[in-house]
Amino acid sequence: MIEGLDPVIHSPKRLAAMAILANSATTSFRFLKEHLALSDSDLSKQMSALEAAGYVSSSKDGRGRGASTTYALTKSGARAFNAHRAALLAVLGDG
Amino acid sequence: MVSNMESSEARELARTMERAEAAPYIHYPRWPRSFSVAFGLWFAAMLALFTHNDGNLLVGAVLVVLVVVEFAYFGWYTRKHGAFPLPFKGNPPPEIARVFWEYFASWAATILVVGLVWWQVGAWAAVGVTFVCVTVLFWVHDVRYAAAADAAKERLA
Repeated sequence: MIEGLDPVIHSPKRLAAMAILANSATTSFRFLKEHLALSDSDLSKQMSALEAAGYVSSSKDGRGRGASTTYALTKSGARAFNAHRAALLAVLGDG
Repeated sequence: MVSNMESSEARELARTMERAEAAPYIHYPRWPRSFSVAFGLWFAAMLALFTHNDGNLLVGAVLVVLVVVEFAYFGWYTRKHGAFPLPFKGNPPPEIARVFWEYFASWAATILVVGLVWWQVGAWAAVGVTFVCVTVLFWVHDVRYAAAADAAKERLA
């Protein structure tokens, strides 16, 4: 793996999820699923990994089948993403 | 020193990241152009109520209703969008960033014009000018933002 990159965010699916979250106040599960083209279970798995790393927080609105989940970057998540982004662009000479 | 393989991988990841960063800005629910008129009316009504208050309870109540309507609309639109972007947060695509700056410059110009009309002509004239300026502002912004989003989608495809 390229030096300086965060192993948690390095996976393309999680990198894309973090990139979306970094550009919105909060993001719904529905929006992430639609734009990352992931199944419900795969997306849940990726977001759980990011939550376990402390990069993302989630909140649930409602109960049962009608419930909706939204995600937001935590402060450490924002720092981690910005550092990862800078390191990635530095490799390409765009940093 | 970065190998060719690592550079290629980085390029692919950067492309993935760029597409994802753009998503909240370019994939959004489009509203009917007639909403611009509703925004113009809302701002004109707010100005009319503020400038003709005189401690009237009914005016105060209508003001509260207008503010509640605004928050309700914003909450509904945010939920409908799913990833509402904030203008100064993140990295919007350059096409969108340009439109954001135009939008804020337009607001600055509108405030200036309304202020001048209020000072030189009067409050009711300023209310009328507010309606016209804000309606045009939102209409033009909607058109330019949609075009910028389409251009960004094409570039990132």
